[in-house]
Amino acid sequence: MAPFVRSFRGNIHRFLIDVQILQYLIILVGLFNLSLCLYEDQVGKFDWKQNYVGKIKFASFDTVSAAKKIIVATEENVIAALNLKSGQILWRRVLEKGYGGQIRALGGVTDGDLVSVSGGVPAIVRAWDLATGHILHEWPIAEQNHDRIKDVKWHIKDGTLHHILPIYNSAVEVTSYDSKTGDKLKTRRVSAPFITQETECVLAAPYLACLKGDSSLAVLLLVHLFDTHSQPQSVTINTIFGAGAQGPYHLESILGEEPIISISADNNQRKRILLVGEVPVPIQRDIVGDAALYVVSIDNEKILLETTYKNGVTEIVASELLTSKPMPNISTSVTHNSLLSPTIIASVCPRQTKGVTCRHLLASEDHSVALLQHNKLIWAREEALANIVAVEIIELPMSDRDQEIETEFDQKESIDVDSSWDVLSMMFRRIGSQLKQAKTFLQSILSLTPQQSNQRMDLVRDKFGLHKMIVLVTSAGKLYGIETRKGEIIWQLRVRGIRGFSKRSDAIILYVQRGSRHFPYPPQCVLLAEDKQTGEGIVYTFNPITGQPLDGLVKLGYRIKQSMLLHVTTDDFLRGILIFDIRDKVHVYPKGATAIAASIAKNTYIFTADQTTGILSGYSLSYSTSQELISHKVWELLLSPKNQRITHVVSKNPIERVHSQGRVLSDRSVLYKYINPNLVTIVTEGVGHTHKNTLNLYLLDVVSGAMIFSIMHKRVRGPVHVVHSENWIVYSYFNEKSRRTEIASLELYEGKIQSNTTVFSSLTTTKLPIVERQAFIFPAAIESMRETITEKGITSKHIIVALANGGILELPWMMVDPRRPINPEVREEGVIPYMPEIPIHMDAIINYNQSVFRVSGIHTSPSGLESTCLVFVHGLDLFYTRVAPSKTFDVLKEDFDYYLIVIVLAALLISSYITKKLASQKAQKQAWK
Amino acid sequence: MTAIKQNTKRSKWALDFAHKNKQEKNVDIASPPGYTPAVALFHAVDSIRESDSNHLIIKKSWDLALGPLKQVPMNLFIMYMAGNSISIFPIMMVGMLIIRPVKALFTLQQTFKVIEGTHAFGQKFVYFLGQLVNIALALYKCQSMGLLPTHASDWLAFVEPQARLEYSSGGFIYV
Repeated sequence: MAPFVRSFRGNIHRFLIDVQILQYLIILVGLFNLSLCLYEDQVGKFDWKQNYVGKIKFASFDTVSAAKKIIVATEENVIAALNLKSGQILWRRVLEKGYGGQIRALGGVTDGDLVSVSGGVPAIVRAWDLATGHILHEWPIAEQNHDRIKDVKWHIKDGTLHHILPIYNSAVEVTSYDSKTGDKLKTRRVSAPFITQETECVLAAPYLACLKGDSSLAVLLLVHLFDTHSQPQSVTINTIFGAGAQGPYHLESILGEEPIISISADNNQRKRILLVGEVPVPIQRDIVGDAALYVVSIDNEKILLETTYKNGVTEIVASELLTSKPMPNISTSVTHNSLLSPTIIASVCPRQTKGVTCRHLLASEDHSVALLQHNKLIWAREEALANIVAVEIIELPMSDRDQEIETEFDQKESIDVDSSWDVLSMMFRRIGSQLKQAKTFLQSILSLTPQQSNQRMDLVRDKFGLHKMIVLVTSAGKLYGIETRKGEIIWQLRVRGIRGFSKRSDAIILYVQRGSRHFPYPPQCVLLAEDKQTGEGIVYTFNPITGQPLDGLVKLGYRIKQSMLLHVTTDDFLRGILIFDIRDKVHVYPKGATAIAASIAKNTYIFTADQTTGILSGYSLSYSTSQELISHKVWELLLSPKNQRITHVVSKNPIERVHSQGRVLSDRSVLYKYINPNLVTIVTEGVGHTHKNTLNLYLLDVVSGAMIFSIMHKRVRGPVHVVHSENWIVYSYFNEKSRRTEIASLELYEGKIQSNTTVFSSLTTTKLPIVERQAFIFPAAIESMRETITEKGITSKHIIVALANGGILELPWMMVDPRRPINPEVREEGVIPYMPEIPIHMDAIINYNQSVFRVSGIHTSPSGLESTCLVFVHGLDLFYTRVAPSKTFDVLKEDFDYYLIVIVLAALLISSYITKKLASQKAQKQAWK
Repeated sequence: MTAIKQNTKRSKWALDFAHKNKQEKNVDIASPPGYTPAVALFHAVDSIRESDSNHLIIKKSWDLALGPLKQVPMNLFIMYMAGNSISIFPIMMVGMLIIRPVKALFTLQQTFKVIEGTHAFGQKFVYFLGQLVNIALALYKCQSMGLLPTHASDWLAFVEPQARLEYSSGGFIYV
């Protein structure tokens, strides 16, 4: 009996465990059902993706393959093939990020095989299939001189890769490899004792041209690289320029197949050309200094193309190289919006039956690429969009009709000043607007000419606020306005002469000073950047909906240290910005906002973090007078010792609203959230005491300078991504010990009672919050993270995670909740038990198969619907979609059957009337009986 | 006076059984046929009973007044059987438990309209108390089921976010 009982008990026990596991499974599965996924017919309905390649570095026309295309290699470490006719990407291969994938040479296209050299030490040589973009061969070059990698020149010709390294004061070392197999074929040393560190050398294969000597008596020396016995030829500057040329001279190799170099003189005022060969031939003709040159050959005849750009007109002048005879049939002149000081980076002029038709690939200063054929621009690509530095999503303005209604009830006019309502004029206005509405209605019915409007008809606010305008600032200084429905570029704006703030990796600051809700005032955005020449601050205002500049470029005359967007508006609903200059002086832009800024200065604080010194400082503006703002340092913190470096300073999104002030525990009491709007997360990375990588995370109140919390991770390194929202912080890092990516989360709670229920002041709160923390294993590499945001903050939060494999994951915050219990006995509502690993569920990949690469940032913005958040992912690709973290609880389903409801209701109504009638008839009959 | 006159006039001709005249006062008249004194006796008992019916009303109304209190054990039993889980039947039962006494309280005047007497006020009071006890029981049930908003968490949705006093901004220095 006893064994039976024991086995029975064991069975029960096992059964219970099974049940428990099953419960967890059910909970988990239930969780994933929460996340939004897409049906097949919804693909591309709410989202769009645009592919880019980046700023072109090398390009060449593929004329040997059956399908003609353009092969490009870019600054973003991308090799791609573009369709000749449309400019679309045929294939694209993204190489390693940063220095390790830098493309150093591209060649061999004319021979039918594409060879690229990329990376640093070791450089990796890859041979590509031209048609499909597959890697055919790959091998590394063992570099002898690690520190000279930047002086190495590469030459790819006839299936051979030449590695050319000038050795100072002795020779040029040329090592040849078979570009396919990587076999070392030959190593030559061509004597060139004149080359020193200062010598400027360019490659004009098979020659190396070096400029030797000072500006007055410079000599150009040409070394034949493949002939070890030849002596360097020398050409004096005077034979090229004649007498009277002034230095400094500058040497440049002209793009094209021919070994030709150009020398510029007189401070880059004019240029001359030298044809390099056994006997170097100088061309005795001055070329303007700012012309971009390219040499193309037509029927073995060398044609020089000079590209100049003036007042929006791009002119390409062709002339025979040797005789300087102009060739007007090849010369073109084109005016197009997407060209800005372009240079030809690849050109091809095949002879056809009709004659010679040239195709030029033009790369503009603003990173855009265009293909020119004859006098026509065939296509243009806005490659500046591959490098976005600032994003804002702005609501579209109201439609004309709504605006009329708005004018009718204009607030300023409707205020009854002298208690005499002008009833008559109001009535006239009413009638007038009604008439207008009737007119437009009639016009739309009779399909007459559409009314003239200063805006596109579809660029108006929709019912749910889902249609918005994305304002993008690119590192090239070009601004774009993209509408969110289809991703169409509505406007583009070039701001010349600006650059991003150098210390913040070329960041340009973009603020929305006035949204589009304040009709009749136009929406206004402001850009903060640096002047390209002086490095002083620049303010540029523009209308984000139309792309019209408002005040133009304003030079500030001082360097900007920090800036701040005020939370209060002036009378015309404009939010001023505070600019904190390098001498800690505070300026207000626009000037008219000084009074309002001074009125709130008492409670305004600015903090700065210096990456080089590791000093954090907080400034108060409380000493300001009504005329002038005065900053005053209130706290300072030396955060990083010698071996730590501040890498991240993350504040909360200023537009965030937190709906729920606490968290319900299992005993139905409330744990109140510690929501400090002035809390900032600071991450430092560096080496610890025992030479292990460490990571420190600090939570700092930037008003009082109080350290709220700090944590140290040992044997952990970047890349670190931080999300800071509400009362929690989620950050990811790479754990070196376990060699995996981990996500840690912190959550701050005030406790079971709120110290102050009405206001939060950083200066009076002395109690430190309770910090909950937990870490999870994340089975993928992370490129970027951002939290979702909604209008009222009622919807639960998800974290949008861009993965290195091109996916964008919508991770419920619930999964990284630090209060996930390890002991499953004590469970709160809606909290899943702790599991170390966060599963990546394919349903939660919001970009399904539309992989996006090299994600540099994610921007989230609330829509008009509380349930929906707009997500814009930028990097090499642009991807836009919308997510609903708690499902779309505030809209009816798309497949909601309106007809059925209407029919059922109507049927019920009719039948009830009929039965009523029938019943009365029956009653009547009964009465007569 | 005229009636008496008429009576004297009529007395010549009519035989009056009901009214005894002065002359016939001493005359012992036999009982009319069908009349038995026993019946009269019975009538007397009946009249005693009728006087007792007032007491009966009081009793009845006390029954009515005590009704709610008598329900208490039954309600307790129902509550015990319903359990603390929140599902449709327990919710319905609890709903009934609450709604019935409340309804009864609203119709208190109507219920006691028929009842009068010296005890009416006491009865009303007892009835009222009984209903209150029932309501209290139902509320207790709600409480044990966790339906009453007695915890701080139940009011969390109405907690306003804290207003911000200081405004701050900043980050890495630009230059």
